[in-house]
Amino acid sequence: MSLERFAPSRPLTMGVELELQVVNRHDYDLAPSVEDLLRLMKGIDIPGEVKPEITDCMIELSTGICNSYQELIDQLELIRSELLRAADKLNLGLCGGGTHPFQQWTQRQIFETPRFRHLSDLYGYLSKQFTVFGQHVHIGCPGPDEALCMLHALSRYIPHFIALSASSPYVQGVDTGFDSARINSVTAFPLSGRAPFLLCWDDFTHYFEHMTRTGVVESMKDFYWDIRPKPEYGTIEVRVMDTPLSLEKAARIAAYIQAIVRRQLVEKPDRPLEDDYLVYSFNRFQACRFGLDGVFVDPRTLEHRTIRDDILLTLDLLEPHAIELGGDGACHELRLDALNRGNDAGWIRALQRQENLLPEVVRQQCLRWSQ
Amino acid sequence: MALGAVQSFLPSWPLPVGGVFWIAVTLVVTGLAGEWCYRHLGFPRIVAYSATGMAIRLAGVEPLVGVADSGLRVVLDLALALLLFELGARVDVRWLRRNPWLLASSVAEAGLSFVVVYFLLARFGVSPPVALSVAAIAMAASPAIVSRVVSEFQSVGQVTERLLLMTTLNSIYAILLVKLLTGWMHSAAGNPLLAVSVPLYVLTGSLLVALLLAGGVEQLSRRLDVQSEAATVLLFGLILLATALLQMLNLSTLLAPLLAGVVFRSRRLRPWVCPDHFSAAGSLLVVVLFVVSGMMLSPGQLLSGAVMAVLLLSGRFVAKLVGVLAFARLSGLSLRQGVTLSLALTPLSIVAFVLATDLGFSFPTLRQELNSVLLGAVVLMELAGPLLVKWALERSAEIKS
Repeated sequence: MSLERFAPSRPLTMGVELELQVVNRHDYDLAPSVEDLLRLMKGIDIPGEVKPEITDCMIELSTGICNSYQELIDQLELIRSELLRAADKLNLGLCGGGTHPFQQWTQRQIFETPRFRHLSDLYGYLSKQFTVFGQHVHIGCPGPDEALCMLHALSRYIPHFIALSASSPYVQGVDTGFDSARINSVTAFPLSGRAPFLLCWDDFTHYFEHMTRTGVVESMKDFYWDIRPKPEYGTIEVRVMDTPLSLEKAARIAAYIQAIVRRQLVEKPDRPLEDDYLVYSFNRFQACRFGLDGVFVDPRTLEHRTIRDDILLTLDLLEPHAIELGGDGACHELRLDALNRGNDAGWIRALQRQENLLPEVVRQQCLRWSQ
Repeated sequence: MALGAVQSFLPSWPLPVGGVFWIAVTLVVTGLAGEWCYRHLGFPRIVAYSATGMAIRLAGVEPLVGVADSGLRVVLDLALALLLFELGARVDVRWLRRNPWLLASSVAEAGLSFVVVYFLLARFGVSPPVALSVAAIAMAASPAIVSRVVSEFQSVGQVTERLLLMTTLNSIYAILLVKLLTGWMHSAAGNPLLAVSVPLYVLTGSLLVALLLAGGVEQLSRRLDVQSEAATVLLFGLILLATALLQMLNLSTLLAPLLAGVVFRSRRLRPWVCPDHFSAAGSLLVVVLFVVSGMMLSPGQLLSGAVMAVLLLSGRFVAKLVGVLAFARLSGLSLRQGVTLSLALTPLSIVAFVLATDLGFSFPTLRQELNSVLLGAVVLMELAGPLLVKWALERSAEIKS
């Protein structure tokens, strides 16, 4: 199978995908009720769509193509209200968070579609352990070469996205010490990590065709990279975020990415270099483990600072672009998060310290998601 | 002299086999039978528990059967109270506000069950008071069987949730209606004062005890970790205390614990996570519940009442099916799920038995007819009900097979 043509898309348009947890309202464990939820959503007019995910307690919503932060919020709110209406009817709760804090992966069931069945046969228990919930952001790029260039330019900011969205401190009932433990589940997959350093679409096509000839991959979907091109949409897709606890934060992070991309397109601050990746895994790990407090090594200056400080520096640089895109409100809120409010992982930990009952934490996550 | 000494320490012959011996044998046999049933046949264990009870009755093991029915009844009431409170606390009646079609569906299936069973029985010449009583009792599904099968096989999903909720609701309707009927039958028997005072006393009294119990458990759950030993002991104590109080005051040992659970759950937002039947001791009590209920029934009743049982159960199934399916789509259920839900609502058992026994106690003249009409169905469902519930939940893919 050859790689499809990189479709044209309007630069800087964006789309968001969010994987949500479906929980029962009795003990707030994951509920295998996605089929019921999808049945109730059938025929309901929403922008974007709702889809099943690999196990039967995960639901993925996606927006249509949006130009601005506000448009994103409007679409997400519409989808959320319809989803909540259906969930209410079924006595289910919906919430964000990169992991369910106490579900047992052995209890999960694969959602029956040929693709999920294939993945389950291939990856075995990894696929059930992959009951983790992420946010993906698509950004429209002017063309294929620009998309690849953007993909590698964005790699510098991956720790920002992880630290800001991190919301998965608990796994299987224990505090992992990580702000985003979800990413560790992704790392187990053989084709995860970063895309090869190729800046020209022809080279990338060649690489892809070579990989398909090896029989290792069939389509772009088989790559679990942190950022990957999505030729049929004409976008690049940032995939490292945990699903945040609130819809607003999900939209803010998308707006942040959009502003970074605009700065890259307009100011062209630095052309990506292979050497940028020398610190990539270290920075990424620091973000997963310590969130905003993690150490960030600047790949160009080799300075060390906290991820928090690097986000604040970036926000200063982004200001004119955020204003231009209508995302300055979003960036202001993220600045407050970085300065003092912290990320959702911190919120979850603080709540558990106070409540000492993970089901109660999930209940309040549902409230955060519905407000 | 030597001989005399020997005689003094050797037991007399035949051995004096006491009640404890037979209770121990019963437990061992029950445990083995339950496990065998589960491992080799994939049956819910409670089928074997009830069957063991019935076998003891048939075999006429004197020291056990000799316990008066009223003695067994105390044990049964205690264990049932525990199970009913647990069920009440498991369901969330606030769901009805979010999805009013559920209430419509519940009223429809229970109402139709009443109407269909009444007309069927009346057509077959059953006297009106008995036909009405059985129709009222037949509204209820089986809380004991349903909650046991759900917890034993860890059933999860939409059908399970609705099954638990609708079973709670139709049990409440049935108990209320039976109490009102009791009043009405008193007045028909020339006791108009009793017509009002009996239901009024039983309902308000039971409600008060329910509120007290709910309040007590609420206080407990605020101060103690539910999984702690202290909490288990107190919770157990409170439920048993409430049951004792209900028995002393001649109130409903069914309604109060069920309502207490419902009230407790509907007042709190914080999830309440408990082990099944609250503890291992609770589980043992539930095992005993099914053995004892088996001992109080006789398989002979199934033989004599087989035709009536099948008639009653099929009429009732159709009624429940129509009631559930009429609102399935509106309430967010697929038709297939509607059918499995109706099937799982078909069992009737211990609650029906207790309601019938109490009615027979108040109106001795009706006892004979009541038993002959209803108990065949109860015996049949004690054995087949758990299988039916399990099968229905497997069909809806909520029990992993």
